[in-house]
Amino acid sequence: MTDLSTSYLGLTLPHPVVPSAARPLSRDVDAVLRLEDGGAAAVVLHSLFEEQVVEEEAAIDHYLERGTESCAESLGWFPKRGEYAHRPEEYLELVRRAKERLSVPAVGSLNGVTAGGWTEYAARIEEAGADVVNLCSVILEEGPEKLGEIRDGLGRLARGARVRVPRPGPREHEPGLLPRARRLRTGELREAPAHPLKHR
Amino acid sequence: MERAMVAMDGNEAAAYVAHRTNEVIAIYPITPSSPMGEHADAWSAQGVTNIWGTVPLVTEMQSEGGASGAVHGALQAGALTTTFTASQGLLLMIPNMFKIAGELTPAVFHVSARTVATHALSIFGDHSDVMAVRSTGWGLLASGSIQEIMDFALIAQATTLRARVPFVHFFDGFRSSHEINMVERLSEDVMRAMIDDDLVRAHRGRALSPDRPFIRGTAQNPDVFFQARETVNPYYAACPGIVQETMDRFAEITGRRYRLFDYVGAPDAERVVVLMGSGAEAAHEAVEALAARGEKVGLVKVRLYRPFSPEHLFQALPETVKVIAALDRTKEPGAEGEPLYKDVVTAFAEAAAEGRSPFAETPLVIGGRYGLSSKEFTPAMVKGVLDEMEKEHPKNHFTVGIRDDVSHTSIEYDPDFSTEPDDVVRAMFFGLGSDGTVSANKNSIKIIAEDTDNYGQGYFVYDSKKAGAITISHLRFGPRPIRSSYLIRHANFVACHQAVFMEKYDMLRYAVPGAVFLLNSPHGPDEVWDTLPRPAQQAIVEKGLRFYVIDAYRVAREAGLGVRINTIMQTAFFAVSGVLPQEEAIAAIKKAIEKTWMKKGPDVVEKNFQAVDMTLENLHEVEVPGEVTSTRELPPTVPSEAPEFVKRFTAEIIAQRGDELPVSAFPPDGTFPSATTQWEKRNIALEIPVWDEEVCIQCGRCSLVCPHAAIRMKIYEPELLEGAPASFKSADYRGKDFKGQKLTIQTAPEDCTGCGMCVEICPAKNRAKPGLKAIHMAPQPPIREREKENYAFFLSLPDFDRTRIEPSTVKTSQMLRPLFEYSGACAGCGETPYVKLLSQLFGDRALVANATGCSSIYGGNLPTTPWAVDAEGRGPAWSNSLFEDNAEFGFGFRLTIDKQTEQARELVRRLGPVIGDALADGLLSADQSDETGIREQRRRVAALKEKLAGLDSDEARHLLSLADFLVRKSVWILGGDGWAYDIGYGGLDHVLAMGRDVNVLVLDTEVYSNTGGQMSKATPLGAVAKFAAGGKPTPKKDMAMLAMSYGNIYVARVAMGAKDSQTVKAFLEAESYPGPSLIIAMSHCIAHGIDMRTGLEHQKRAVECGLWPLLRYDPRRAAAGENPLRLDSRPPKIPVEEYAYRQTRFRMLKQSNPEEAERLMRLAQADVDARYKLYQTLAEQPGREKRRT
Repeated sequence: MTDLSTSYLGLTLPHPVVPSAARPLSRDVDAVLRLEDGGAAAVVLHSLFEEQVVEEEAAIDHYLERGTESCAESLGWFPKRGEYAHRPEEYLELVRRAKERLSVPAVGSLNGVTAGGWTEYAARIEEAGADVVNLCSVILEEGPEKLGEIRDGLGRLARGARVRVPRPGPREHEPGLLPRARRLRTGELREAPAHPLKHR
Repeated sequence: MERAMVAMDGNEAAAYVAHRTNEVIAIYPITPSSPMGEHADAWSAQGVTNIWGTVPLVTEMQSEGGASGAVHGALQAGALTTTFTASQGLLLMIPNMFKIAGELTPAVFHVSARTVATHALSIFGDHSDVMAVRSTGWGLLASGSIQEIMDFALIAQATTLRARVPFVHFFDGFRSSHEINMVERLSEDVMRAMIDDDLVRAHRGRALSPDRPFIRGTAQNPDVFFQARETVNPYYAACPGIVQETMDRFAEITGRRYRLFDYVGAPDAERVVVLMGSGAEAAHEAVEALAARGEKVGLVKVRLYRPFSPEHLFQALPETVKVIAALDRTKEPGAEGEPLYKDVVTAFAEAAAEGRSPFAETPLVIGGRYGLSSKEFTPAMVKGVLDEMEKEHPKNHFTVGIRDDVSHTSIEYDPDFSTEPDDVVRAMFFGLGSDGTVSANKNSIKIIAEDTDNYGQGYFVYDSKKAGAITISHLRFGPRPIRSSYLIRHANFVACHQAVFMEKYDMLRYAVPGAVFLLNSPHGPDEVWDTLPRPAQQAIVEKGLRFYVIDAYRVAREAGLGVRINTIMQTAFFAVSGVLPQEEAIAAIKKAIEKTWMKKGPDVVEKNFQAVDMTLENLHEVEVPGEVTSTRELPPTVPSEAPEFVKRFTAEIIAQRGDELPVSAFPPDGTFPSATTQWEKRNIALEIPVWDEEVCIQCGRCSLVCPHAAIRMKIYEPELLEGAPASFKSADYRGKDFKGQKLTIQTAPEDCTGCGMCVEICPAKNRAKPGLKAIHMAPQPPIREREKENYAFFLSLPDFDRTRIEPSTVKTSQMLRPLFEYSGACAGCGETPYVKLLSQLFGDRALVANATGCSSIYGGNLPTTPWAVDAEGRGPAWSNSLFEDNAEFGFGFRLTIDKQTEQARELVRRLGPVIGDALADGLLSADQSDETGIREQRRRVAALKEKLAGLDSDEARHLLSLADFLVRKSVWILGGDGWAYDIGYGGLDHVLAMGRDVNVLVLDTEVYSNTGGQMSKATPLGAVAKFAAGGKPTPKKDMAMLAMSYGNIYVARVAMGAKDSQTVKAFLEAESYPGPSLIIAMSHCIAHGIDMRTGLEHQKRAVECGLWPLLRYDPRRAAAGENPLRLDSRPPKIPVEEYAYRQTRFRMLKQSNPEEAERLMRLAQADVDARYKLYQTLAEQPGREKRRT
């Protein structure tokens, strides 16, 4: 039998068939388990999109604020904002529950548009049990003169994520995101597009 | 021990202590006390513990009566229990207060004292509520400042445990409850030091327990009750001493010393004022200033009002006192004086009579009233009182602060007397509700409190309108604690955050010479001067104001902050006001921004930082010309054709000059004319609907759904178009029923709020211009004048003859004139379309009993009312009684109508030979089941009145006064779900059960909308609301089902956005049913957290998912042998979550607690499925045997 084992994202996998991040495939734990039952070597969970979270939070913030401080009897419409975590808990819950049931690696996926907003979420996905955190960043710049800025932005993002995410535990992830981040720091950006740290 | 200065308002200060020193909190919301309960609920939800390490249990009851019952029960079972209330709410607690005091139970109620409704309701502050509970035996402890509120909350709690006398701890509603000031927050160590745990255990030891059983709450007979009642005397005798000891202990711990009566002023004062509450702070300023210039004046601040201790009062007064003025913030008509006055008089009279007065001569005591319903009470007025006291015969039972030209009670004062020091920044900010002005100002105070050594104070004045409302912030900053408990009238900084206000309000009249004026305007420093009206230019020139301008909306947009201008205006304020050195101010703002927005991510912080920097770059000082160049005056407040009453009374209030109206301007009994909103042209819509007559299919739905009657439909004879403005639109009527008529749909450009619901509901499609319908929104300013002219012409067209209209469809119903127009409801309100429909169908013969709530505020808050009259001068007769009694109130209308109609008919029979048998027969046998019948009966009644006028007999005069009752009347009982499901349900249930012909319309927003979104029993499962922060765990009460169980009540559930034809049918059927009718109308609301423009779409989904089944239960069908129940909506076709998660009230739980949201959504779905099935089963039952009646 041909040895199909490979290494991906720092993980050693029996074969390279890994469903990519797509919400219909990993929308809930049952869907993820079906992927495993189908033979997936690992599962990349659908992405948590920064724009989506920001938009949802902004929408909630908008409606929590709208119409407030306007009428003496009803200065606000909802219970105090301090109680709302504004966190993408649903996604973290998916990671947590998926890891409880899966025997193959689970990869959390973050897709952002800003250089700095994701470091905290990356750490929390790792805390929820993800074996790897896949960081994707959209930096909408054009022109070769912007390449330096893009490199800096990605570097900041990776460094930020690296700062918050502790060094890998018993397993060595090589190459993986974190080692990628170290390489980015040393300027080897040309490897980045082929890796989960994507510029699109 | 740890000390911390923080900025907070009075409600928070009271709640802070109450939450930490109690175990059970049972409340019911009422303005202005609601925030106390909300704070407590929020803290408990966050797991904040009390000083014993447990989280207090907070629960919302169905009424204050219920809350006090729950409190009584919790106390009797041994918990430390409290509640928060005001006004009518406190009065509903009176029965239990007698019980709690009679049983010597330690408890503290915190009351933000508010006016008790008399000729009108008022949400504002005075002492009429707390004075109404004097006889309950509760202690009354009055706080005057925010620091005192925090301190006395604790002192009261510590005292009550020792004294076993329960306490009402009160402070002035709004003036103190909502004033933000700097306080030293009491630490939990201080609270523990003050509360004796032995006493807590003693309280528990007295509790009801089957482990050591006894009974309490017996019934007693004449032989023993009196003696038993007198047993409490030693407790009341000891109580003042205990209060003082507790205050002394407090002083030892905190350094702040209080006495039962505290004196301020000259040690040899001859004139002393005595009062309690926030007014004492204004008096403190006045007395200090006058004493400093040698006047022999003083002030006694009353802390402990009950039990009243004359000894302690005498100790506080200087022995030189000759004249005392006792000032009461309440009115007791018929009494020989107000409460505090009488207590002071009694104290001196008894002391003198018993020879124990410490005063060589008994001082003259006079009494006066001030500050009712938060009327301003200033140091100038205090000086006025002190000046009066110098007269040889000072006026007694006077009023101060108003001009009483009827009974001549008012005393004069010099309004220019000011004690405001020069080193205090006094800033006024004029903003639009929700534009960020108020939150920015609250943030500014926090910055000052936490980051500087300065002191800050903030007080906010809001409009009564729910859309396009103005807010006025009054901020003071200075080097010393600020006790000025009155509005700023000598501002050294005035900011106008909305340029349109320059055309409406004279804001600069409050600016002192040399003040700074900051204007948010789209015009730059070189153009803005020419945009100002003449009075504004004059004020700037004459007062030498320094004028700054900024285009805050542009800066906000460019900084990526959308339309929130708060950061920008706050920065601008700090940059030019001189509160702090600019660099320090900017650093402080940026620090605050970081703290506030850190959790949202560095980019949000960065945007706000950018906004700060851009503000400084875009803030420009305007070079003020030496003279006035504008000739433009402020437009008149009301049109010249407005009625006299509107011009001399209503207009003054609209122009913010209501304070200057004298007593004679007012009706003595609270009666006001109808149809006054038509004169208040608010011009708040940025865009208004424009009709395309060629695309329109004339369905009438735009007119039906308009919350403000600002888009209307008329049909009329074509020849009436003669003289129409050139731009006036009309179309040939489409349909056979009124073939040959013309039809116009016209917008009221100055009354529209721009909500866009008409455009959303329009079903027509413009095939030539895809995307457009028969109406589209267009900017108002360019078309305002043209549409004003068109609307005036539209109104001049006569209303179509009602007798020719069969209003059973949406279209025909909209041909009827609305008699409810241009209310102050929110833009896109879900309630008002139903109210307007009621007015169209039945308004000319309707009496409306309106519960307190949104509908009573938009329906009856001065200066204007939307309830209107038709061309014949008829229209709805409307009244708001209270909250809990609304069903009974309306029932009372029906009792009178039934009785007077019966009397009138009896008299007609008796006078038949005199008035003519034909007329008498006609009157008695009239069929008034339709408009034609009603019109004919009106003609007969007119003829009857003519005949009676010529007769000289008591019976004839009697019948003349009752003749109008011969025309059929329609009784409507109207209110929200807060009334119908909760506080008023007992009465509503009874009234429905009584079988008389009343029509109940429940405007169901599924939450207490008017008071800011507290949960009701109508709130659906899983929705977040105040007091249900974790999602309501129980299903919505099914009031329709409960009502149907009687069998003889007409019941309907309607939703205009889902099936408007069923709505119209239900209204007609309900009104025609000669018995009790109940319509429950789904009303979307801003408290659902939705785009209000799409409110009707939400209604549709609510029906589609089965959460709101449409139904009609008509007992007449049962009598005819048919199933009385008809389900008017189909089985659910979308899951509940597809409706729910489009609304913030559901979605926010999904964000904060997705597991719980999922669990509650599963329950909600199961409940919907089961409930719809139940309805389906019931609706499918065959009819019973036809009943013989």
